[in-house]
Amino acid sequence: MKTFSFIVLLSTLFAITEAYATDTKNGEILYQAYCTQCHGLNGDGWGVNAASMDVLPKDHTDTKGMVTRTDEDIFIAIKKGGKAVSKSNLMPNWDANMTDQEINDLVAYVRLLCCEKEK
Amino acid sequence: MKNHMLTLKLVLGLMLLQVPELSHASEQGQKLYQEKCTACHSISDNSNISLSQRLQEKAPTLYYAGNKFNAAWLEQWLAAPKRLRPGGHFFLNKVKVTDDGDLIDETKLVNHMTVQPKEAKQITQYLMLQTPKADLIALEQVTLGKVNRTLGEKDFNKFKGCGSCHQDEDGYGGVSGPELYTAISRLKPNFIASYIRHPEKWDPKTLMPNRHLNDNSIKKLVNYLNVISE
Repeated sequence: MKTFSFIVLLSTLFAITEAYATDTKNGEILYQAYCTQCHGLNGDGWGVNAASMDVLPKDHTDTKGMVTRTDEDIFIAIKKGGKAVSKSNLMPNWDANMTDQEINDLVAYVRLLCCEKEK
Repeated sequence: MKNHMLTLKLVLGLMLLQVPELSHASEQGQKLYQEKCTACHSISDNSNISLSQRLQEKAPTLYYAGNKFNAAWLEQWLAAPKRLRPGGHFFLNKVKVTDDGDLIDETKLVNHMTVQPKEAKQITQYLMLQTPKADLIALEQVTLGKVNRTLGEKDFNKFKGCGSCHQDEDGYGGVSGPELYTAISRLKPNFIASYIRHPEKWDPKTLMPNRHLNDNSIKKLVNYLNVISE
């Protein structure tokens, strides 16, 4: 009985992990589609639109600045826009363009870009 | 009375003559569309398009061209096209990374083909028949008006952030989206309002965000486009 319960527990944990697993490859595609126009091909904040903007887009390669942001901060900024995290309104809300799962993939990719380059 | 009947008969006769002519023109337009446009444009239902399919598109969908364009503008533009999207349909593969930031590599931009005026008329007649989203258009009731240009510009750029991707004057503004200083002559006002209200209902994988604007905010933006219209 104990073995059975252990297997059930393991399977549940596996299912939960799978459900919330992020796909950085998908995050990269989403980043290229929606983010690079302002944040730049390399994520340094100098996208093709940046030159004409009043507020420079965030440099996602700035490790020191980015480690102060939690994954939740980044998720909210993408989903609800910069204003929702007390940043620029020029960062729009992407809630109609991406699902929560896709935004999680994007957060994972931004995290990879800013802070886990050596991995 | 006799004169009235004669006029009526004449008008009816002319109408009967016009219908086959129109239908013939749109049939010719369909042929021309197949021959000249399908290498880059699609006219099929885009409801289930995936992001990777969307990013591989060479040119905008013409699925709802009749809901979108002003016919007179389209006919004229097809015969003498001018670039509408400074970064092309999708900017990414035209970007070059430089010390001054990312720039559009203009050598990678492709010019739109030009057709003869008669062909432009026929293609336009065919494209204007493509109206699958009339229900979305029917929800809008735009009457073009005016707005203070300075306040409108501030609203467009600072408050709504449209200028990050779109130009409201030649050379001023973002380059990843289509320019908007000719939007009013190019696009139907109700289409503009509807696309601002819910871009994803027109293009499920659009690169434009839905800013959840109310009627008044949409009206202000449309009126600003009217004021700056070229």
